[in-house]
Amino acid sequence: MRISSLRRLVLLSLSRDWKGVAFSALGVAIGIGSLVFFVSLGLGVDRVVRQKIFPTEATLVDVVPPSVSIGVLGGAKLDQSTVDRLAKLSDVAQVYRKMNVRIPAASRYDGPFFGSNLRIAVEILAVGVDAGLVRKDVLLGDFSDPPPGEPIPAVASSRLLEIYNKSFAPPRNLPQLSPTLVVGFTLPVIFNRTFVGGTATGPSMAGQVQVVGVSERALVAGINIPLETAMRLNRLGSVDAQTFSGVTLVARDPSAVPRIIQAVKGMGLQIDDQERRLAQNAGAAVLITTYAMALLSMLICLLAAVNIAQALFAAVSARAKEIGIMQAVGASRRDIRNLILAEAGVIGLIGGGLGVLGALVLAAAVDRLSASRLPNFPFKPDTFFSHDWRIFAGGLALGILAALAGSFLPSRQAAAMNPATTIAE
Amino acid sequence: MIIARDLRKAYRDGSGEVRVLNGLDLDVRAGEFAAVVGASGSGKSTLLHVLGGLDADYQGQVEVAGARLRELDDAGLALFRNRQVGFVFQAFHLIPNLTALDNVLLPAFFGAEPFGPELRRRGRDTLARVGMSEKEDRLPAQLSGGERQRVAIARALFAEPKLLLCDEPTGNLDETTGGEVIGLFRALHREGLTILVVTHEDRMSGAAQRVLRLTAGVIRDGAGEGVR
Repeated sequence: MRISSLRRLVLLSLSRDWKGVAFSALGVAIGIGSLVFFVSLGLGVDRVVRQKIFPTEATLVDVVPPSVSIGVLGGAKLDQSTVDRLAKLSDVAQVYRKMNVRIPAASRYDGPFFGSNLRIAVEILAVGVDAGLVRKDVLLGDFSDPPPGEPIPAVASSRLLEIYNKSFAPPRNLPQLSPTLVVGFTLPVIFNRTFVGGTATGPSMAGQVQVVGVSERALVAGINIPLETAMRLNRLGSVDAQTFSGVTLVARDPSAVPRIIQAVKGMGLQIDDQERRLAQNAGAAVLITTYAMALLSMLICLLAAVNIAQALFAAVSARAKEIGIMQAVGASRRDIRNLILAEAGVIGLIGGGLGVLGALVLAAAVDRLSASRLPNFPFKPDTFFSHDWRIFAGGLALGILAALAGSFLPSRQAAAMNPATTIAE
Repeated sequence: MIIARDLRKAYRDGSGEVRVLNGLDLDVRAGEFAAVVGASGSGKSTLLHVLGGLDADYQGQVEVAGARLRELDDAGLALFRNRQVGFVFQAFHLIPNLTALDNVLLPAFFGAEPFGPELRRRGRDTLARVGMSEKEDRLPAQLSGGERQRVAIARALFAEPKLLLCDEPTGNLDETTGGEVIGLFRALHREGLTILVVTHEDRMSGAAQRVLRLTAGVIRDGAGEGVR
C-alpha cells in the first residue's frame, strides 16, 4: 500500500471515532507530558545547582595540605617548593596560590550604604590569592598589594551577593546590589582584632577594604585579597607567612583532572573537593528524583499503551467485517497490520504532541507562579526548567513508541483474520 | 477463466468433520455468465471464497484468470483480488463512514497507482456506469438497498477485473430492485465480463447462461439453461 493511501485510510478511519482517538491520545499525552515536565524540571534544577549554587569548573583542582601530619612520616607542607613541584606536573597549566589571613579581622560599619544606612559589625575572613585566579572578574585596579594608606582590593563571592540580595537585604530594607554596583564600596577593617574571641595578640592594624569585583571563584563566606597582602598581614601579625592554605591547579583538559588528583595525592597532599562533592551529591539527588519521576511517567505511558491495546483489540473486533472487505478488495495481511499500526502511530503522535505542549504550558505556569507567589530566595532561577528540543523529540518518539507497542498485538490479530470468515459472519 | 480440479474443503463442528467441497471440478469460460445454485449450507459461498482467493485453506487446484492460486503467497493473493476479481455480496458490505465514491475507490487504496484526481475520475465513471453518479457523496446509510448494491457493484468493477464473483447479490433486495440489479449484471455480461453468481433465487439463476448445481460438495452441470 502506498503511503498516500495509508495516510488517507488512517485519517478516514480515525475520523470515525474521534472520541475514542481523543481518549487514547489523552493517556499518551498524560504520560509524555509528565515525562517531559519532570525531565525538563530535573535538568533545570540540576543546571541551577551546578551553575549557581555550586559553580564548579571542570578543570580546577583545589589542593590543601594534609589534615594530619605525623612527625617525619607526615604529609607535605604546602610551601613554595611544593607549589613549584605542583606546577611542574605535566597536565597542570596554571597554579594559583592561596593563603589565609591568619590573624583575626573585624569590621564595624555605620554609614551610608547605596542610598540607605547600614550599621553592622562583622568578623572578616580573608584569603589571599594569586591575582590570576580572579583577574577576569576584577573591575577596578589591578588586584595587587596596595601602597600604604590605600585600601586593600577585595573580590567578593557572587554567591554571597546572591544571599545578600535574596535573604539579607529584603528584611532590612537594604537595596539590591548588582556586581557592578558593589564595585568601589569601601569598608573599614581592623586586622588582629576580633569581636568574638580573645585570640588576637599584639597591636591591631586599621585599614580599609575596597570591593573591586565579584567572582564565582571567590570565597563564599569572606573575601579574597591579593596574596602579597595576606602574606604581609601575616608577617605583621607574626604568624606563618610561608606556607599556603591551598593551591588551585588548572588542568590543561578536564580529562586530565583524575591524573592530577592521583599525582597530588602521591605527593602527600589532599584534594579539597568539598564543593565538587556537594555539587555531585545535590546533582545526584536531583537526578534520582528526576529518574523516579521519569519512571513514573513511563509507567503512565505503559498504561496508555495498555489502554491503546485494549481500545484497538475492541476496535479490531468491531471492524472485523470492514477488515474482511478491505482484504476482499486487495488488502494483504501486511496492509492490514500497517493500517492498524499507522492508526496507533497517529494516536501516539497526537498524544505525544499534546503531552509536550501540555508540559510546556504547565512549566510556564509554574515559572509564572514562582515569580509571582514564591519568596525571592537565594539562587531562585527565572525558570526551573531546561527546555531542550531533544527532550521534546524524545517525548514525541516515546509517545509513538508506546502507541505502537500497544497496537502490536491488535495489529497481528487484525492481520490474522480470515476474510472468508469475517465476511460470511 | 475458472478451472477448479478435485477441490476439497472440510471444517469441524460439534458433530465432527463437515465436508463442504468434496472433489469439486468446475470450468467457467471467459465471458460466461454462470450461476451456482444449491441449498443453504451446500458450500456455495465457500466455493466463491476459494475461487476469489479469500480462502486459501482447501485442497485441490484452482486456476482463475491464468493465476494458480495455490502458488500465490498472501501478497500475491491480495494483488489477485485487487486486479483480477471483483466481489459482490448479499449484504453489500460497504464501509459505513465512507461516501459512495470512497467506497468505490476502496480497491485503489491497495493498488499500485498513486491516489489522485485520475483515480477519482475513474471512480466517478464507474459510479456512472451503474447509474449512481448523482449520489457519490452519500453515505451508505443515506442510500436504499438497491443503491447500496449498485455502489457495491461499482466497487467490484472499479479495478476493471476479468471476473465478477457474486454471493446472493439480490438476496437482500425486493423484487423490483433485484430485477434492476439483475438487469445490470446482464448489461455487464453483454460488455464481456465473466460473471459467476451463487444464488438460491430462481430469478437470479434464470438470468445466467449456465446453471450449475452444487450438491454434496460437487458440481452437477446442466441443471438448466438460463433465460437470457
